[in-house]
Amino acid sequence: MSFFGLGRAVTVDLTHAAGEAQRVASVKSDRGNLETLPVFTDKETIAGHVHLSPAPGKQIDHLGVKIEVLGQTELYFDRGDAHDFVSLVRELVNPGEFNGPLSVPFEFKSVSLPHESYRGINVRVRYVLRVTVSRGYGGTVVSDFPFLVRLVDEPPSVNTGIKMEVGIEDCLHIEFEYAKAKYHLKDVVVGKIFFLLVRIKIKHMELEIRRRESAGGGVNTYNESETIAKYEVMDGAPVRGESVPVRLFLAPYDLTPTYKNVANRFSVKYYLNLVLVDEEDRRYFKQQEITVFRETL
Amino acid sequence: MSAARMAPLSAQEEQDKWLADAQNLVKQYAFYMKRALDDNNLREALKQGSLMLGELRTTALSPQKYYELYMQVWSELHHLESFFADPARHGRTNLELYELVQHAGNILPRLYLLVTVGSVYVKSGEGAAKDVLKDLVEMAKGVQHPIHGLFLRAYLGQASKTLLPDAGSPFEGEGGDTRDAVDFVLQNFTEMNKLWVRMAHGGPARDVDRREKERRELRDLVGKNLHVLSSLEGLDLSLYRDVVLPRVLEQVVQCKDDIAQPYLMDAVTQVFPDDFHLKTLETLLGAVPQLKPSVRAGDVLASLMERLTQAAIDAPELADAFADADALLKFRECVAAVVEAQPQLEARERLLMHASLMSFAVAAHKDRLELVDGILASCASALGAPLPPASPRDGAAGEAGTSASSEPPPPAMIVADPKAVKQLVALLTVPLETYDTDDVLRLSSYPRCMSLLQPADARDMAVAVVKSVLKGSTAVGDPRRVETLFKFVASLMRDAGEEDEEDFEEAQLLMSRLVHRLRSDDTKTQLAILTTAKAQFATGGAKRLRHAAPPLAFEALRLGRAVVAEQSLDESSSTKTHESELLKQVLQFLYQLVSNLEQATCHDLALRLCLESARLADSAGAEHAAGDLFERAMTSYEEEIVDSKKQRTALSLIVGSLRTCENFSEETRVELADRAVGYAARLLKKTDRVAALAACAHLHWRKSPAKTSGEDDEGSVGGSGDAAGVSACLQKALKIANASLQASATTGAGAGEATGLLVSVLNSYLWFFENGCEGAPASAVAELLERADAELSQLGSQGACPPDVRAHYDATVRHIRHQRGRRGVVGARFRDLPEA
Repeated sequence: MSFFGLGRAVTVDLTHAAGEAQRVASVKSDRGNLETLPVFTDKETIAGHVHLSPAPGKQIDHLGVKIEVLGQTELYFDRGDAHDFVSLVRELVNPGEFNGPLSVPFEFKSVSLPHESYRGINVRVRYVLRVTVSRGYGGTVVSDFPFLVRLVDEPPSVNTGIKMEVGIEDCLHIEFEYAKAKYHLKDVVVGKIFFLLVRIKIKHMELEIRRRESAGGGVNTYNESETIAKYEVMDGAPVRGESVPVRLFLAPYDLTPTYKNVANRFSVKYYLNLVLVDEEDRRYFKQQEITVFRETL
Repeated sequence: MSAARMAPLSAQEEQDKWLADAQNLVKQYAFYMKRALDDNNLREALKQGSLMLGELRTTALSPQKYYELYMQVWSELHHLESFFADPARHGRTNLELYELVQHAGNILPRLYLLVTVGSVYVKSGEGAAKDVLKDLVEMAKGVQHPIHGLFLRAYLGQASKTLLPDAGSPFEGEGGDTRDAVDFVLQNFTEMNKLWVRMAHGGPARDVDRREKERRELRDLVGKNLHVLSSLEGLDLSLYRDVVLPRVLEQVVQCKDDIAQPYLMDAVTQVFPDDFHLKTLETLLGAVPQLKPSVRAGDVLASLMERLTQAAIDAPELADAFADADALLKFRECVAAVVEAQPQLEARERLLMHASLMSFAVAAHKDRLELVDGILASCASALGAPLPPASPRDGAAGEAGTSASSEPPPPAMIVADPKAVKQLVALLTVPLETYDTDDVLRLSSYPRCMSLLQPADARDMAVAVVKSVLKGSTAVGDPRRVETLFKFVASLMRDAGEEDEEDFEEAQLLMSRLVHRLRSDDTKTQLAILTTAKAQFATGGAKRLRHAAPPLAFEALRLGRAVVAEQSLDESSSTKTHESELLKQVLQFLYQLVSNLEQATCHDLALRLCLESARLADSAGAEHAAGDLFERAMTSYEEEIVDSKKQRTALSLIVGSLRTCENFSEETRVELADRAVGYAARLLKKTDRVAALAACAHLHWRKSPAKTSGEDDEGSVGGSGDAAGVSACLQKALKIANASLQASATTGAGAGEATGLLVSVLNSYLWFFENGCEGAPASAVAELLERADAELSQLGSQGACPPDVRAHYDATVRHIRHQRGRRGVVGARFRDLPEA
């Protein structure tokens, strides 16, 4: 899983207790390629083995081997300010020496994992299992084994639709409705747009999903919006009285649940943005917040 | 796309270029798509397919070019469809595919893909037809661009055609029933129509014509849906009546479009079966008055009626069904409603509707003349023809006068547009071709309709009426009917507008012929008929009466003779006085006719008629009347006949007529004969005088009827009369011949002609001699023979003998020679003559 330089005296590997059955998910790595990581959720036990392999024919002297579970929020604009909200340690091996491969079991029972893993524009939440082989003379080997945390939300008890009438006087008057205000990640946005008055030459209409991330606090609040999805729902100009159906599958998009004030550091909100574009490429839009939640892991 | 939008749309080359570019791209994407399909690479295939379909998002192409592009894409979509249909190749369920294609970001490619997958989904049996189709037709609403939408929905219609849960289809049951199929097609139809109608709007006004043309090119895309509906196995009457028709009509009425309304009404008419129309006529017709005023409702209605008319003609057993459905009444109400609702309706259309009504009525209810008349009446009213001044006397159709006449009617539309004229003529011709004269004449509103025509057209129509009467087998035998007939042809009875002389003559000739078709076996009725006809002709003035008088006179004379014949057959009966009364009336009628002709300065005709009438009177023993008529003829001769040739002819007519009269008293006869002799003597030319006098001689002599002419080869041998009178006439003739001979001796010219006269006189003498009249004794004949011979030899010696005179003389001599050889009295008489 991890690659170490040949110069490393010891290769550290980690296997999870569940083995093949371990839940995994693919996410984009820092370098932009997909990586598959194990997934855990709150109050789950994280257990497995740490495999230590010294370079062939080498004896390893060490000051102890430990494993940590770390959960951190990182604000990119403030790199140094990583904040650990989870930090658990287990000593795996007492100081000593070994000269062959060594497998050591570890276990963290019912770990509290309060926040989901998240990679945003200005902020991220990341979890790692960190194995540290302490050695003198700067030979300490630290290996991180990232994992993902996903939290299943309570399905909303109330999930009423969104219905709204908007318009520009004597110009455009529409009413739109979405069947729900809260969507799980694989949900479908179903709705309808009614045209009550159309005096502009509409070219097309699209539905956007926008993500708004606000990180930090006070004067150092950083707000970033990005358009996650652009989905054309109408081609051409309708006349008054027409209604246009909307059906947008959320599955293909890389959404996260809505996050509210995670660790007092950031929030992520989602919006449905209905955009009408006229023949002069003017855009008329109306944004509605939706709540996104995780139904299953 | 934005570049496309900026380009000017009109130039043909630009269109071609846009199309070529788009087609190249389609080809390219299709190539990659097919390569991906070969690799069973679903994701790549969808991507390339979407790109290919994305070319259909263009707004630069005219509908025609767009259609070409669509067809190209359409054929490529087949590859995708067969790939979708094979789960082994893509490893997805149909439902998964159905969701997957909806991830496409652009709506038009997305929906094309969705329809393609959807049809596979239904075909596989995995998806219920009604649900999938409903979803597709609903989702297609996202395409509001008219051309994009129309073609997308056409694709949907095409793809779904075999998937409808129609009765008997494999998709029935789980997949729904016919009702679901109907709902689906209707919805697609409605949406397509809306898009189609929307094409008319937007864009600069100068492009209106081009847009209309383009729309017409696309109309069958919309109409196709109606075809699909009509071909549904499960579409029964109740479904059609309760669902299909109301919804189609609702759309037709609501779309308020000049092109869509007539097209769709016509499509409905043509596509659905006749018995559906019959059973739903009210609903269907109910929509017609609601069409836009600018839509030719008349054409729409006419087309529907034509269709049903054809049905009635093709299947006469349908007639009952038509009657049950009260089809004609409904049509009429509808026509009336259209006329009412659209005051601006052109005459042409009003007429077209009524012409169709007429054809329909004749086809479906041939036996009901009153319906035909009713249609004529409403046609006349629809064009504001004035009501006939008096309430119609003809009771056959009371409907004619029903419309309220209290308020001043709007001025009648005079039909001048050639197309409208054609319609009206067609309308009026139908009854002529269908019914015989008697029935046609019972159509009391017919003349009202004719009054809508311009004078020249009305005349043509009247000529057609006359011709039809002439062609018909039945004569008009009722004075009232005669009066009606004249109403029909009123336009020939008055001057209006320019009229070609030749046409006038021809028309009047026809009218004259018409007189002979006015005939009743009952003498009294016949008189009434003739009186009526004459009165009618008299309204046309002298120049028409001149043409009509001879046939009228002949008919009257014929009638008179018939009366006389009846009288003589019925000598003893008490009706004699009555019959005489009738005869008197006939004579009066003739007398009037004579007066009329004189007024019309047709003196020749008047004279002839006078003489014929006199003969009639004479044959009936009405001596006074006969004498009177002769007198009148003579007066007319004296006063009006001035041309010598005419005088000669007239006089010979007078003499001829007089000679045939048998019932004059001696006194009258002599008086009349003397006058005739007097006229004869005053003729200008000697030859005429001689001939006339010779003829006059006959007035005094009556050959006794040959009693046994059959076996007696001696022929007529005797007669009776006034020998002195004969002699006087003959001598007068001889005197003229003598004077002529003397004159020629003096002047040295004209001897031949004079000798000719002499030979003529000789012959006259000879005739009387032969018949034993003392006025022509043998001595006189002998003398004449001698003289003639002498003159001829003299002329012969000079070589100036006219051959005709010579021949005449030779023939005379031969005759004498022949008669001499006969036995009996005549032979004996001739033997008294000296041998030539």
